[in-house]
Amino acid sequence: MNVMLVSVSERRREIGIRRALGAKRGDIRGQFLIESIILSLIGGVLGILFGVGASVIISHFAKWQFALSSGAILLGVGVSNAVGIFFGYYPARQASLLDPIVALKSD
Amino acid sequence: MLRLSEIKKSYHIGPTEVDVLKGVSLNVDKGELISIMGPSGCGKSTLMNIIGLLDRPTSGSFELNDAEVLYTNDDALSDIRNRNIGFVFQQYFLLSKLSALENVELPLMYRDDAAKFTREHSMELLRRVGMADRAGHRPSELSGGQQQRVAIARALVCNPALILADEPTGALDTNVGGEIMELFKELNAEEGITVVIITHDPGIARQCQRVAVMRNGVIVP
Ligand SMILES: Nc1ncnc2c1ncn2[C@@H]1O[C@H](COP(=O)(O)OP(=O)(O)OP(=O)(O)O)[C@@H](O)[C@H]1O
Ligand SMILES: [Mg+2]
Repeated sequence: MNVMLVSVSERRREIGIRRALGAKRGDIRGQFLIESIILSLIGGVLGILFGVGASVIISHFAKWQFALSSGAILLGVGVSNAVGIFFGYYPARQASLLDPIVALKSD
Repeated sequence: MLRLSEIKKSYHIGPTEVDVLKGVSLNVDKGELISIMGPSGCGKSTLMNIIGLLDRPTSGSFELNDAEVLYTNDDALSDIRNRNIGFVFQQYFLLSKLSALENVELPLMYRDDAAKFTREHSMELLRRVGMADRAGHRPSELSGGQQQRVAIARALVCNPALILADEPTGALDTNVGGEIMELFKELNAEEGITVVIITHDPGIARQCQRVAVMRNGVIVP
């Protein structure tokens, strides 16, 4: 979480630059919303592959019965996507509301 | 082109109020090349950011091309910045993940008529600032002077009537700074672009048609 917040504060300057060059608040919000959705989707797919792979290996060695629960996958991916999109989008939305110069000066 | 009158700006820091601009009045005509000088902390950047519509004054009146802009909404200000103003900053402010050419093209992203600006137009601007052979390079692969050239090409991409440069040579050595200044003079003389430059360098100021001196939040006559 901390990592994401730090990277957003770094990106405040980017937001300030884009605003200076003519980006509207909505442009910034749109960019960060799309970006965090894409990142979360990629993360979700990687997470499913990793989780299923690890389960297969563990159940093989532990001699457990392997079963996929689509409900668990949906819940896990849904929660992680919601968290990812929120923390990608919300700070950017806040930064888009600042005067451009405030975002530009942040470091 | 610019008509500022009695511009004031104050900041609240906790309970205390700090008056940074105490009533700045300044007119700049179309086609002028003007520099603003003054001691550190006197409010030059604060004034420039207000002129560039990046910040709003506490009070006063500011007409840009005969239109009062103080009550203009935020989206419209973004459009004015995009279409009319080219910014050049001391720290260049290029996006590190984009190539030089992509940085030049960045402002076009925020116009609905971007299609009428070809890639060749952006390349031509890189050529104009002497950076055509570095079009594919990232900012981290360029020297300070080269980054500033790219930033100037970016400032020009939407054909602005006004260029605002806040200490554009402040991080460069005298020779490179001189070359950057030559570029501004060319753009002013050949394209008729109005240029406002903040500088601490008397050698730069001397090359401008007019020097406005600021002290302690006002422009001294
Ligand atoms: N966001 C802010 N909050 C409070 N004070 C500020 C803020 N921005 C600027 N100031 C104060 O306003 C004064 C003028 O700052 P400004 O950056 O305009 O000076 P400057 O003339 O550009 O100086 P320099 O030559 O060093 O760049 C300074 O005293 C500064 O501390
Ligand atoms: Mg300054």
